[in-house]
Amino acid sequence: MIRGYPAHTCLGKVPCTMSSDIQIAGNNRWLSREDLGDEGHSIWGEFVVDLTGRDDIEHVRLRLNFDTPITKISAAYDIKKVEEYFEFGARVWNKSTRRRYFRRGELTLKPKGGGKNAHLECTVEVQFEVREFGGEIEVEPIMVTRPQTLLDNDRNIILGRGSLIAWSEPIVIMLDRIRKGIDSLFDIQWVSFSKPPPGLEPPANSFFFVRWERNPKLYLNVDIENLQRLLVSDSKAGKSHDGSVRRAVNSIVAHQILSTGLSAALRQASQHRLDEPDATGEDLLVGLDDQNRAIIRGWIGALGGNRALRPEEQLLAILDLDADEVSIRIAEQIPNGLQSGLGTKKTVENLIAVVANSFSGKLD
Amino acid sequence: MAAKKLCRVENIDDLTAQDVHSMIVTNKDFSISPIEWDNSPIRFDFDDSVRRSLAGRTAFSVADEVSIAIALHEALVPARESSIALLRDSGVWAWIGLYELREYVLIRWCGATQNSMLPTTPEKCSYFLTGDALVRQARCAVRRLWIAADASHRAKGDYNAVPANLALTDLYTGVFERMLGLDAELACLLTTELHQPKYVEDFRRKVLIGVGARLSTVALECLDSRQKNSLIQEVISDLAANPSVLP
Repeated sequence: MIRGYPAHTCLGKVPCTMSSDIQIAGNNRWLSREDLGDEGHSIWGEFVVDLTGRDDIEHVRLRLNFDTPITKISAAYDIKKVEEYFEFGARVWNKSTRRRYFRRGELTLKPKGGGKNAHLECTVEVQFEVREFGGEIEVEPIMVTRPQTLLDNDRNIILGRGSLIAWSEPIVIMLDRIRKGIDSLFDIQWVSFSKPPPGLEPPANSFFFVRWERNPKLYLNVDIENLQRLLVSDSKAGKSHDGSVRRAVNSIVAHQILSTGLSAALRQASQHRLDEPDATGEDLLVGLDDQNRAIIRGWIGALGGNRALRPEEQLLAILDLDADEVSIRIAEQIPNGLQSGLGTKKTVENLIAVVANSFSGKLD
Repeated sequence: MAAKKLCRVENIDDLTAQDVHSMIVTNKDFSISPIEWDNSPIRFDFDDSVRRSLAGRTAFSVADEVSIAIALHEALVPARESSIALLRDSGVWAWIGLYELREYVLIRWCGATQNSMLPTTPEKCSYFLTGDALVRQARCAVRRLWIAADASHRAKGDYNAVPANLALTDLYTGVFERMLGLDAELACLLTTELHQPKYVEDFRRKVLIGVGARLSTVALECLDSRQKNSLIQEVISDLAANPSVLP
């Protein structure tokens, strides 16, 4: 959000601590990470609150604090007037509902009179009614100048109102995560497969491992040299080396997991249909495990059929086929549909172009 | 006459511009459902006099677009009052474009004519689609109009800035496809100033770059209207004094 390092900033990027809690529909009590136990781990990260798929959460609240010694600003400003010169708060950006605003917090000099060990205590609380927002909400703690003009004695420059003096890493609240690539399918965790954390038993020689649960998790093997660097790199997909290889690796993982995931989801839906022949498409979809429902909602188009229909209608149409036809759909349509949905052809073409380029076009 | 209900096109996010094109060309119906909020339908009363005045047009002027934008914004007041988040639903915008204002979108954006009410190419049907990204919001034909009206309404409580917001395509995209366009007050100050004929396109572009550069070190959210206006004027006078300061 803040690019570069403004010449007038005294403090620059300051570490910030975040505490956060949520309110679930029908329950007025605020629940913290500790209250939610294991469930809390899928919601709260260091700079992320991920509410993707949690339709039951009505409110989310953040408390942000930063605490910084005044030594860096004492040469520039009269320390006794810092509370008059600066203010602290959070700026909130939500692109999908086209909003940006400032939530004012508190800034306090401690001890009041200043002194050698004085520091600034800054705190702000922001609360959101989830249904009033969409996509991702970015919340960035900032400290800015308050007066119309303010002289920085150290650098001998006059700052206008709102000039940024300090900021912290933005916190992102994901309401429905805008994900790209393989990240659009799973929560990804990097672990050492040779020394896995307790409770996880990935095959030592593989490079990925999947837990097919409510929020499917993809574990990637940090032991494989360069894999993490490659997959988290920001290089554009296009025809750059890293980007092309990353897309190719993503594609391999996604094809394998989606193929088996879709087959598993269809099998469960078929079984439900046998148990309840009169069930509607909606009934069938609701009856699926969360992960199977998610994959059907997102990827049923890969099984062919009319994409203008709702997922539950597409599912019903597939289940109305006879068993042989369903098998053919799985065997033939899934690979085709996934190639189209994942852009596999372009991925492979880019990879070939990169390889050809690195051999100066001399491919055997 | 019964009040119209706001609806959405189902599964629009699964459809490409090509899919939309093929459904329009083959005259197929999209799957539609009414929007509900707290178990109640939401009204959508688009001013019939505006609809009638635009019927049969072979082209749409800025003035026409302003009247559509205002009527659309007013029709969506019940949705906005229920929850602003309803208006990020791409299905709602697809329904408005495909069912309520189809003729406008086809003629103004898709190359259609009154004789053949069909898009000239499949790609042009992307104007019926939208998404969360600012560019995708602003390039949806009907959402674009709503954004222009909403910015004016939020900034000033009236629709006086809508003509300036819609006057020039380059200015609209330069303002409303950027983060600075999320601040309605700044957006309208910029369009009101820069849509004037004394500014050429290259100068407008440089002003927007200059304002963006200033805002990388200043929190726009902390400025009042007067301070925002001063910031714009400072950038304009800096550029007028040093035209080569930006490429």
